[in-house]
Amino acid sequence: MKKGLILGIGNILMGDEGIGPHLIEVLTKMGIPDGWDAEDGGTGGFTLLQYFENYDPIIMIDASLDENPDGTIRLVKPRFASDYPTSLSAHDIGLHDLVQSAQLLGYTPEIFLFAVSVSHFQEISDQLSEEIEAKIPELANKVLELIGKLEMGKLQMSSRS
Amino acid sequence: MANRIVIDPVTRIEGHLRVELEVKDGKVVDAFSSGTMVRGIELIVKDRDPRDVWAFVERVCGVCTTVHALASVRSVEDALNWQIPQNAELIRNLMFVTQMMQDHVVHFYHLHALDWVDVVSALSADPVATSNLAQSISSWPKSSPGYFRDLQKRLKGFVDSGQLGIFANGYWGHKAYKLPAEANLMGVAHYLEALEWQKEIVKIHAIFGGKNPHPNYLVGGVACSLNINEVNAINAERLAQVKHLLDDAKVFIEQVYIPDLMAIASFYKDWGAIGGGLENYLAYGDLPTNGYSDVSSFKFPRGIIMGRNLNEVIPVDGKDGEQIKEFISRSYYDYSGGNETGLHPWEGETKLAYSGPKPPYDYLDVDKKYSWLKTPRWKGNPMEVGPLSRMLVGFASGKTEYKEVVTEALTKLDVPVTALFSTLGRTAARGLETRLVANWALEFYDMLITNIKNGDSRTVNQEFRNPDTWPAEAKGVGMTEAPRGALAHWIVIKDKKTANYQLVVPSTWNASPRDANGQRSAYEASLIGTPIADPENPLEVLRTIHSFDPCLACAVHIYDEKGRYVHQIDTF
Repeated sequence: MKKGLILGIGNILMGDEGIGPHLIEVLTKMGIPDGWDAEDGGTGGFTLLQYFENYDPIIMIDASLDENPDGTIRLVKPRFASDYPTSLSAHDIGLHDLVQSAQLLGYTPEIFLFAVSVSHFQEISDQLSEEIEAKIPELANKVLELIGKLEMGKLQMSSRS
Repeated sequence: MANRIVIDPVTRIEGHLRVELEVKDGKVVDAFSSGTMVRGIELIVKDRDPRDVWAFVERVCGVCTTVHALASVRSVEDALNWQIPQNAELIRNLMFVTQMMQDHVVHFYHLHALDWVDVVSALSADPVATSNLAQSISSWPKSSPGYFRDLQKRLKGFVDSGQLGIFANGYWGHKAYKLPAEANLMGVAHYLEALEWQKEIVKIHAIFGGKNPHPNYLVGGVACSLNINEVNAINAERLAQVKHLLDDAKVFIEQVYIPDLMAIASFYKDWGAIGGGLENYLAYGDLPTNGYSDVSSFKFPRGIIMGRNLNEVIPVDGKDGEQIKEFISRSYYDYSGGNETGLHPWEGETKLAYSGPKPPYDYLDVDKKYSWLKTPRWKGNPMEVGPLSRMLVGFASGKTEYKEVVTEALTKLDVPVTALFSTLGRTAARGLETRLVANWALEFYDMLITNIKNGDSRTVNQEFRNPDTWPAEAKGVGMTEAPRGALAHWIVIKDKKTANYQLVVPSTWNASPRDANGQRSAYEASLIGTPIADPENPLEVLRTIHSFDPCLACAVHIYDEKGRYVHQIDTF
């Protein structure tokens, strides 16, 4: 069975846009659950495809530009690339392209996405805003809770068979 | 009356490049290239420990994740006259060639090929004829009728599902597409093969740099140790994996990329006379084989070609305050000494001063400032940078291997030498240098193995590890060749901290606005005269702009109110 992956996406140079990588740092310090890895996906484009091939499920964390109040945490199960939020990463190959490419290659891990709403206007900074920083414990808990549920599901499946 | 066409964003995938064109009688008569986001990386590294700067600048882009780190560590080493061990140089070279091979293949298949290959036409190809075509140009084993039939079925599934995804943005059916259906199907097949291959080759970055994306670099050497018997070091097993990946890369490039490039080019020879633009070419050079201070040892030589004169290579000096300067007469910045002067990057300033129209707007105010990109000049002259510049400087330097691959390609396509100075020439040069790089990769690997066998496993020079050994003030420049062209970082170190830091990136040379004298930079110049069959679908413009491999992530950074606008439209 493949391992699970927690994948933080975003640019740590662009303030709250870096919430994904920042969370990976926090989770790594807390300790990653057995059977799971955590990766700082940074602004990586197509190079992230290897993770789609090698892990299942994948829990992604990314900043999202949407109309929700800043700091809103949503858990979505994207089916199509268009279900992914618009992000403000400056990378020229974005998450949409990555997911579409993975589909083209037939990599179909189960994907969960925690989208954290951030302001449209980010100053260049390697720090999170106070508002988003304060959301880190809640976000970390939600990720770990989801992993707990997924692991429980696996256990039930294997005890049944 | 000329018509105005706007393309925004221009990059095939995401992007922050906008081009406005004036078209008259079916041809481009004027062009304006604008970076629609502002850069400001210089501001975030100020006052930091110079040895940490690479880790920040490396993050500006997910496409060329290593090149900024390399330029950064070199700038610090240059400032402090810090030499690195030969193994470190070889490992950096291996990281460099990995980046270039991966990036060029991704560019060709995923960012550029669809300007020439019609995906929808591939659906009507005969798999047997496609197989015959593929086998006639290459010994690549995946070329049976069954392989292409399966692929076509997969493609049809995507089209039928309505989730065209990455293929959704295309001018499919445009009359400027000239390939037969079979060549289109082959192109799409290799698009997918290349996607698979590229995720393998970048594993070399994880091996030497600990992680990918954004591998680790180190001022004074490389961030890994060599020990063939040690589990946690670069050991025999990992080295064998590197060798395996490099061997596969050479096969892929020689049996897939180059034959495809030549096959596609043979249908578009007219593009050997379109898109030439500037006549000056700049390369900083890279891939040292005897220390970075010995420029003559570079595999990619350094130099400038003026006026397309291939009989002379003019030296370039990044430290000479009179050679490379950045101007802002048409860019949204202010200089404290006046906006008409140029500043050498060591004296560079990054004071943002947006004066463009309030978005959303229809057109840029091109008579005034119209871009977030500064305008770099060499002794006042605009320069093209990129694969074509590197190949021309190599060719003009008299290096045999450059002459061989260039002559072979020209002969095969039956086009004159002047075809090099064109959109086709730029795209071909990228492939030809990838061929050279694939060979050099194996040379560097062999040299590294020889050193290890001889008992030399040094990867770091600790000489200046203690900042107390540094002078109170030092200046350095770190030059490299990013896949897209000449890249340099300039650093001023004062009291152990970064006092000033400036990047002049390839897309700044190529995509910048015109200068105070009205001289166009490379993108704008290359578009003049481009034929436009259908102003609603300006495929021809994209061919030329994409031939430069635009990537503005490092040229433009901060998101501003204009950037939001850019994300909301998709005129591509």
